[in-house]
Amino acid sequence: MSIRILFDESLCTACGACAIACMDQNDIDTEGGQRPYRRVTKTEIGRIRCISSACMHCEEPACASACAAGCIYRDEKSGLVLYDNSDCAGCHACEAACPYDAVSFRMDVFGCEKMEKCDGCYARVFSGMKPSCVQNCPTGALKVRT
Amino acid sequence: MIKEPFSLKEKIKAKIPGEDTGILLKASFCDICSPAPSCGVNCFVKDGKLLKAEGIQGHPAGNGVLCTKGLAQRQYVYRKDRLKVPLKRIGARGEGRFEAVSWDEALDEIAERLNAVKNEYGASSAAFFSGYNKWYRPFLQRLCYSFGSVNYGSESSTCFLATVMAWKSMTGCETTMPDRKNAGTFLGWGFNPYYSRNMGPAPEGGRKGNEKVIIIDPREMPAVRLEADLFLQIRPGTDGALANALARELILRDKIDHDYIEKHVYGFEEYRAYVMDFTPEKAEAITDVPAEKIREAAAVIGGNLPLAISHSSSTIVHHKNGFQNQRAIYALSAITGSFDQKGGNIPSPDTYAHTRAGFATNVERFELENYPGEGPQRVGAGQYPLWNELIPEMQANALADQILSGEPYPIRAVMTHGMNYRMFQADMRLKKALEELDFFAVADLFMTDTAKMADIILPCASSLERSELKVYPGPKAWYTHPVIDPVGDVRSDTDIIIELAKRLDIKDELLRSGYDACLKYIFEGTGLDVDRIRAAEGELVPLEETKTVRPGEFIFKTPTGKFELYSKVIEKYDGFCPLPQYSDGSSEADPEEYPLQLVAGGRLPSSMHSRLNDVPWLRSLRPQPMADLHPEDLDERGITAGERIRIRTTEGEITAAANPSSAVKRGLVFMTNGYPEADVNSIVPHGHNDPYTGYPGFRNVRCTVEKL
Repeated sequence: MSIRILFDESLCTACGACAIACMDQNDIDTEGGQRPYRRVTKTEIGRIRCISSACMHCEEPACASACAAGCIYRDEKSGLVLYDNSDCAGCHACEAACPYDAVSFRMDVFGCEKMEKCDGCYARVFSGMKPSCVQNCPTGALKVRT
Repeated sequence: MIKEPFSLKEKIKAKIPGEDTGILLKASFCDICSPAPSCGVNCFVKDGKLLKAEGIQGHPAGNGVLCTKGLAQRQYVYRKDRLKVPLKRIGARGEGRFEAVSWDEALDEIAERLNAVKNEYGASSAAFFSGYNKWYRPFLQRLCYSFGSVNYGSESSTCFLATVMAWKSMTGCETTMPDRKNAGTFLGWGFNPYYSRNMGPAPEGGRKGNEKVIIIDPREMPAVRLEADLFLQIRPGTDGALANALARELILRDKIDHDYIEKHVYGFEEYRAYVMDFTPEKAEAITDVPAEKIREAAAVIGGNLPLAISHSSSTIVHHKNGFQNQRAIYALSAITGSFDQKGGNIPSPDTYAHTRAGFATNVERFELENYPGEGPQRVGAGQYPLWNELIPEMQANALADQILSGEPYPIRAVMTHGMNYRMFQADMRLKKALEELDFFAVADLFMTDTAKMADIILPCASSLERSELKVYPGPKAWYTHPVIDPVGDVRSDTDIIIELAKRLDIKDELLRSGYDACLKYIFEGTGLDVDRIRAAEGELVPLEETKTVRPGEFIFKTPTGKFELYSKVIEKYDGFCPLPQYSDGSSEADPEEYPLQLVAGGRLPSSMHSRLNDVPWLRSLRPQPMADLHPEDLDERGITAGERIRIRTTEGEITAAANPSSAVKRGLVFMTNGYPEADVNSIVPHGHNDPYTGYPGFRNVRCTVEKL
């Protein structure tokens, strides 16, 4: 099953519900400096623009090419860019390569940073639910297409 | 590669409910922006712990969605400063040193100390106060009166009740619901449903349909882009001038409902004569809304009736002239014949505990029947006589003054649930007053700065840890049950009140007989069977036998039996104007020295007064206190985004970071309330209050801003 998360800017209010839903789903450690996989940006000078953004699940992911440890890969079945961070050295090369600034780092119990990112909540979707951010978007700006 | 079936570890990580993962889905509700809307929460629970919160599909509040605030349920319920056991002060008042005590010891001490004040000074020298939560309020109010004190009060001394006073003075009803679905025009006045109570069951929570939508706001909020046909960007606190100008245009265009006015409106001629002075040009000079836009808005309304007006609890009435501004807006409902008509504003009774499910109950009798017949006047009665006549509560804005002065009689003890002194203007006065009490007891979820000043602290249960009977439009009823293990030895607010009733040695068998017995009394004769709802195992039950209000059935409860544009109730008071008179609401200060207008209390999607400040996920969305100003106002002062600024009024100063926002009208400084480190209410001047209601003029304070 392919999974795409769609975003309609005209409906977004930058309320941040998607970001909080992501934090709750993924136990994001904001106190440890971690940021959620999805976040909102509000441009308030001039024309007001509201954006919710996360990993775009690129067909040719620059983060995967940049990762020397080979943590990141594209899953053909779902079309999602997924990862296994067991070998992550916390070098941030993936973050530098990502044009969407969509990579997050969590400090593990040994004080090492490990990359994390949006996985499309694939386990939820395959279980008949929506991605957490989509489920809780109050205006329908976020949708999922399977 | 994604491989199915998923391993158990993968499913637990993704929080997939099921027998294998041990994760249960349990239904409860969110109490963060309580009491309405009380959105349904699907709690993902494992081993008694909350793992995740989501909306409940099909629930009347939220329908599957939670807002920014509600989604942080887990961090709210498990906030690090949750109170877990009853505490007794061992250090000096306010020092913050406590020892754990048993519930018996804590409750006995409260009862003993309240009785001591009653014996020495009289029962009314003990005040009972409720902070922002509302679900237990009928019980606390009844306890106060059964104890013999007239001084029950609440946070509603600054929220919502001024709008009730406006409706009461004109119609005798408490509030109305806009019937937006059937409206020709929807007037969204200070309408911000995307950031505030956005999932509510109230009709205006619905999105735009076929009606024309006019949004009136000093900020370009999301409702403008998503819903508005017309946007009027107004200077805060000038709403009355705009409403009167719209009325003039509607009268001149003959878009008023003559039959309705003839039958149901009192004082139209005096009103007509008064509003004729408000030409669009004059209104433009006051409101900054261009005259052409005022004419355009009147044309839209006149061409698309009936008119439904949004309900706002605070934005309009948080002004020194707020009561009259609110009445000027409501007058539009009368002259267009929209009041109590399909597509207009439908009177809506308080069902119970400040929730509205479309039917009335015996709640007012429950709250008021033990009111002490012989006693002194309530706090604030002398200062705010109209409030005192229309609202059966003390006006708590006068509480600090009475504690500090002892006039007209002393207040020596305060028992409160959820009090936050920072909700009041010039709030350090109240803090000082609380320090001087003989006895101060606080029931709360959290160790707040106010709780730290208490002699006894009682730990309360969150909505997920207790039971409550909830009612929703439909109407439907729901008896919830605890869905997670409590964080400690916590109790529900109503249990605390009932336990106190037992120990205070008062004659109130009903209150002493428990929560369900009280509910049965409140709902008797309404078709809501408390036992049946309770037995429904957490399912929402439709109330098929309950009769709900319908448009056209309302009977005016005014002296003339009509919609009073000229209020006979207000006429009695010297210096008050029975018509919706417009006056300037600025604070008293030199406009040259204080050229900007501070608007204290503008909402953020991630905050709710002070209660979410210490919820890390929400705090991460706006980590530091910020003031929103138009970029040009900041440019003129050489201030760039993120720089520290000082906001100064005649009352004091605070510091915050500058946030340039083109959404804000020029000349304004928007600042959310509730930050201990940047407490904007502390610089709202003492005495800057609406004489009709006592409400502080939070949103119209002359100020100056400079770079630090």
